[in-house]
Amino acid sequence: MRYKLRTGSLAWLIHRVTGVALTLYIFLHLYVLSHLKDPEEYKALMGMMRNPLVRLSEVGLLALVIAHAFNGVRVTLLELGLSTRLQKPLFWTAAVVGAAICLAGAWVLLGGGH
Amino acid sequence: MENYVYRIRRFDPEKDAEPRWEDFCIAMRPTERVLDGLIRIKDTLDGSLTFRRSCLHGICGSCAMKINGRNALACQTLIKDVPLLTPSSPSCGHRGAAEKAAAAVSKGVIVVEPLPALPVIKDLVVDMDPFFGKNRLVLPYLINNEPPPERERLQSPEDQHKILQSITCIMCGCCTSSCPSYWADKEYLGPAALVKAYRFIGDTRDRATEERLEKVAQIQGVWRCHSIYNCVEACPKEIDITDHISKLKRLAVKKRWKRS
Repeated sequence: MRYKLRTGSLAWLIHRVTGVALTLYIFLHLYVLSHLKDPEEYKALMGMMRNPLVRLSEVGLLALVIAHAFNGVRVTLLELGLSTRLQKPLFWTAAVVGAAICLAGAWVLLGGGH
Repeated sequence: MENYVYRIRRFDPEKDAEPRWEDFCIAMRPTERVLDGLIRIKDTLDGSLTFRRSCLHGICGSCAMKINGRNALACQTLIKDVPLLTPSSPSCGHRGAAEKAAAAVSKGVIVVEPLPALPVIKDLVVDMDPFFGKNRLVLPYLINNEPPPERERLQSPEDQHKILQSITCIMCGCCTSSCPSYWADKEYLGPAALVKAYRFIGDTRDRATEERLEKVAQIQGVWRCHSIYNCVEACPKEIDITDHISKLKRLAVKKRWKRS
């Protein structure tokens, strides 16, 4: 379906895609954690977490969570009665604040803090 | 007058297996409407071009179609307001050299398609039955079994103001066919039917609020709405549709809470 993407539909699309991605991640997360048998395995896993590529994907995970959470709050507020006039400003505000949080998170996760 | 290319999605069930694109090059004034161009094409270039139009003044809702990727009334969309597409080698070959030359120097391309998500009957004419069928489901008429007064049932201007926006709906179908939830689930009532439900639920003279809320507070009623706002963007009457649906959602939740 070719249809002009507007702010509202863009926000919805991001919400859907991040929602599906996070659901898949939850299963992966629980699977990995529930198959750890002893402290050694845990340590080995934590060692893998220091891999820069894994760190980078953690930044991606943070971005997914922030995008999904912020838009969730936006939609909830709008459905609770906030004016439709605010739907676009809310999206762009969430995008800017979310990007700032992701940048700060990237700085911490990628080791800029120490 | 400047040259524009109309790229029209055409389908003749008697000739075509699949819909096809056809380009028409015509001279238009920027202050003319997209519908003026369609009428001129039908009058001067191809009499078989099929589309609905009636009042030409944004009241009948017949000429709803997808213009450059967004639903609108063709009679209400000025050429100068259409975000024109670049004339990337428009294929005007079938109309002769003069039109081909015109396309090359045209101001831009206007893509005209039938409303999405509704079955195409011919060219820009879609079958509106699924759309009106949803409308019938929400009981779109005043229900009041109390004995009628001597004259009409009165409503104060304040009470009328509460439903004024939803009354302006002309049922053109721009909203419902622009809704991704409706594309995915043809059983979803859709924005237009929900606005119609709101129009009577909010009417102080009506007594069937419970019955209507029953129809609306369903998974394929208000809860298919994910506040995407495509309907609000498309509505030619500038009705704040999502706001109306949100109000219905809150009424549905209140009703459920009261019951439990």
